[in-house]
Amino acid sequence: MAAEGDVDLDLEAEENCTGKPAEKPRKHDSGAADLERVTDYAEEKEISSSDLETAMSVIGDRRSREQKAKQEREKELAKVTIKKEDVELIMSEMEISRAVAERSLREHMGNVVEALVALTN
Amino acid sequence: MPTITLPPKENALFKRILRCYEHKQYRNGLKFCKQILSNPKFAEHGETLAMKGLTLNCLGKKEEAYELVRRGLRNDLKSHVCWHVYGLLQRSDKKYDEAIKCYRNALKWDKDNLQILRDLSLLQIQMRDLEGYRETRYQLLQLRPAQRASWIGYAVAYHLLEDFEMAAKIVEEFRKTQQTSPDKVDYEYSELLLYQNQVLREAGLYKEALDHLNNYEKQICDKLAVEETRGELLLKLDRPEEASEVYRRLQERNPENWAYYQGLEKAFKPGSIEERQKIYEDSWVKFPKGLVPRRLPLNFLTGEKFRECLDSYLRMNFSKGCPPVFTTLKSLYTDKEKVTIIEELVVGYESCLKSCRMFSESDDGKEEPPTTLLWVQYFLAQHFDFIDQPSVALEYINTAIDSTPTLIELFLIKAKIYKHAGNIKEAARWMDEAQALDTADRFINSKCAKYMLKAGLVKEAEEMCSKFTREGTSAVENLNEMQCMWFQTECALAYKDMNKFGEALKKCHEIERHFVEITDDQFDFHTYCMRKMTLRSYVDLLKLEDVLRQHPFYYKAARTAIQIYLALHDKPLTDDNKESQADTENLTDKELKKLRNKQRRAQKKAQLEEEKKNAEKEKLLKNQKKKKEDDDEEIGGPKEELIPDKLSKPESPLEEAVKFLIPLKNLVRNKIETHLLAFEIYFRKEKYLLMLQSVKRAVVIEPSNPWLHQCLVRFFKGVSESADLAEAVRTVLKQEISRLFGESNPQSFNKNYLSQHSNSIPHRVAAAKMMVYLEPSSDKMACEIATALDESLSGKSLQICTEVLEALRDGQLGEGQQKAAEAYRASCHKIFPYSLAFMPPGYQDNSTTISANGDLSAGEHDDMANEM
Repeated sequence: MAAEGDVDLDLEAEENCTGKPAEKPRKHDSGAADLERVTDYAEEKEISSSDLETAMSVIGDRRSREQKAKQEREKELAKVTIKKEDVELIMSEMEISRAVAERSLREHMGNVVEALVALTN
Repeated sequence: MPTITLPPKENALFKRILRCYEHKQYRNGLKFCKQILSNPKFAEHGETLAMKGLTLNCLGKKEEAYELVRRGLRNDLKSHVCWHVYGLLQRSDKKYDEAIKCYRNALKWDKDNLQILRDLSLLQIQMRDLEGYRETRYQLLQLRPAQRASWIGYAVAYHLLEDFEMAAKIVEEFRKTQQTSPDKVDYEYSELLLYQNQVLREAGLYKEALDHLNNYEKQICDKLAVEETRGELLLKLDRPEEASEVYRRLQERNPENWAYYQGLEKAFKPGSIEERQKIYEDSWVKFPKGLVPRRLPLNFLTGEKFRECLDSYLRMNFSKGCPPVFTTLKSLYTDKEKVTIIEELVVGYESCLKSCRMFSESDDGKEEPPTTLLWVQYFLAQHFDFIDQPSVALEYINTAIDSTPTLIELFLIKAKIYKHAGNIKEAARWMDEAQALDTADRFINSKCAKYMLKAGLVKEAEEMCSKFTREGTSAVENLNEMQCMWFQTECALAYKDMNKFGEALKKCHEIERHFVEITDDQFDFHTYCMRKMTLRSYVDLLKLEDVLRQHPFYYKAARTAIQIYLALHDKPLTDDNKESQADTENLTDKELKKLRNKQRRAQKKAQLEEEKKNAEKEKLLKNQKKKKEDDDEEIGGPKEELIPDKLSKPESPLEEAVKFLIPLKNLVRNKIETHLLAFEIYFRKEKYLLMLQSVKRAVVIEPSNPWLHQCLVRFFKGVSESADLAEAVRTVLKQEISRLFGESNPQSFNKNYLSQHSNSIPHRVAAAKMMVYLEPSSDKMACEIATALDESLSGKSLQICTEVLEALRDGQLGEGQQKAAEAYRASCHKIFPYSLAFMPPGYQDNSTTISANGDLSAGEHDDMANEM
């Protein structure tokens, strides 16, 4: 069942048609008909090539480096201690979400005044 | 893993349900569902129930769908199918965040399910969670490296994250796997190559991009794009000779394309005006009929040379009878010297053409046809209209009309002159006259409707539009359906002017919904474009959608809505508005505030009751509709109805205003008005830091802007008088105030501003208003400052004078200025004799009015129009 699960629920919006004649004659009085066809169902095309492996290797290497750099920055930011009431002050004064408020506070090493000045720029 | 496993027969049926769903054969799908569910053993089979719900949703039965899908999910919480279906259902309902959560749950039970990952990636790109999108795309690539879409999607992810090199690399790896013969025309491959080239260029790899272009040129179908790109790249690589050759070739293709001349200029790098002109002179010989090579030098030439070049350009246009010639020159009007030359030249043509049918007496023999004079007069009317001399403009256009009373364009300009001169009613009348000359012309029909709306004739405008809208539905409904936003914008403004705030807001919200719809419409293209490989257009589309609300249509609607919400905050509507207004006049500020709070509370209560009633009504209606829709296969996404009465009594007008503001703050930062509107909202919300943010951003754009000055003064005063602010807030304000204002106080700040801009009317008005704001007893002096109209003062305009008159009447320049107002009106009337705003009291518009069928009928609409 798990293997069959793969075919489950193909794209909701998609439909048949490519190749087959349309069942009903479509009206061409507007762009609606063309727009409708945008959501037609289509099989995914496959690449028949064999040198996929080399291609894949080029990509994998680059990716891991990038993730590391990003994680480090996040780690650094996470280390900054911030006060809850500062976050809440920023949220209510600047009318922004908690995530954005927290981030700006962390980026300014927890200094609420600096964070606020930056947000008013 | 599903908890109940279906036996083979039912399992086969279930698969057929899925197939039917994919292929939009919903009726059949339901049949198969029934076959499974009618077996008592599987009556509660979760996945089948969910699929039945999803199928019903496609048939427009949303409520039933939700019920079934939720029941299915409850019966089988560990099924990825049920979670996936629930996600799809939420997605169809535009609840994207919820849908993402569902997909994530689904992936918990089947982490490598391709279809779910694909659907997840679609939502991520739709929501612009680009990092998430890249992650998902990476997983898809790992799972299915053999699929085209996997590669393309992954490359696009990097492209959108602006890692162009990586994107280019991925596309290249993918391209290598594509086997194509060099002679076969393969459009998709061609698009891929062009996309790859675009990525290379965006990565700044110009050399590589040029080589790439040269290598694959033969396989690219869009030859024009190849050539244009080549020119651009050669310029970038500083290879001017080759570039100039490319642009010459392009010029041959289309001598009217501005960009090619710019390309040539960049390639030749002319050192002097003469050299620069030479480029164009060459083209005059090559393309003697070309207009663009004659028009472009006008931008940089001056004096005699300008006159010569202009002369030949204008003669060509006038002889030919080219209506938009004035429009093509408009951009030169910032240069006073050029305006004078244009005027001299064309006025000269006019007198000569009248006397001897030639452009100039020194011309030997070549007579112009009579239409040339007509177009010259048409041009002059526009010219004098543009430099604010409506009387002269009218003279020219009337002469032209007398000679050719059947030419629509002439009436159009006449209407325009009246509009600019401040008499919109007369303008609408003439536009109607123009429209009557050709009722089958949709352009003029729309123009006429627009003018009618500006004149406050909403009904008439609707009728006018109905000549072109679909029969059987009301024009307004049809225009909304067609997303005809200019009409809705003008409607909103017209209603606003009539103080019909609810109606106006309805229009603004309708426009807002169009934008939501446009954003939603992009969804289907995430799969479509990748499949069709139209990646250049796809990336363009995404970038467009990112800044969609920059569009002037949105800006205008948002501005109107914000202005109305501000007015509604300052003076909330109550059911018996007139009465309460009379009462409030004798109250102090505090009492007034209390009263307003009270009113607001009462309103809220009334509103709640109203809502209840409405809800009941709606339910009834819905039930009726449901029966009707039972056999209707269309998906009816019922949105909340916009009811003007309800809209004009919002619970919190300022919060509503903020909703319209946010996109502007994000997308139209370079426009000062955005920040000034923001200030007006935050000022009323007493959010000092956000006020600070608004003024800081505005100061960068235009420090001396009169409206900004009023914001600054109010902000300054507000901060100095504010109590109980949080410590951090106070520190920030103190620090930033001294940066903005130095060691100063509001009064001297205002005085300083006045003395710095004492000869500009708009600045004087702003300072005067603030004088009264800071010190009500200074009204006499303020009034004098604001109403001065001496010749020496700059910035005189219909708009600012109207503003002053309004300020005098509504007390912004002190109470009891009726006398001053009347005197000011009289002096303005002399300056702007056509403007309705300055007509003497008791002025009656006696002339005929308009009806939509185009005839002029004696004043029957007049009273109505006046009341509005």
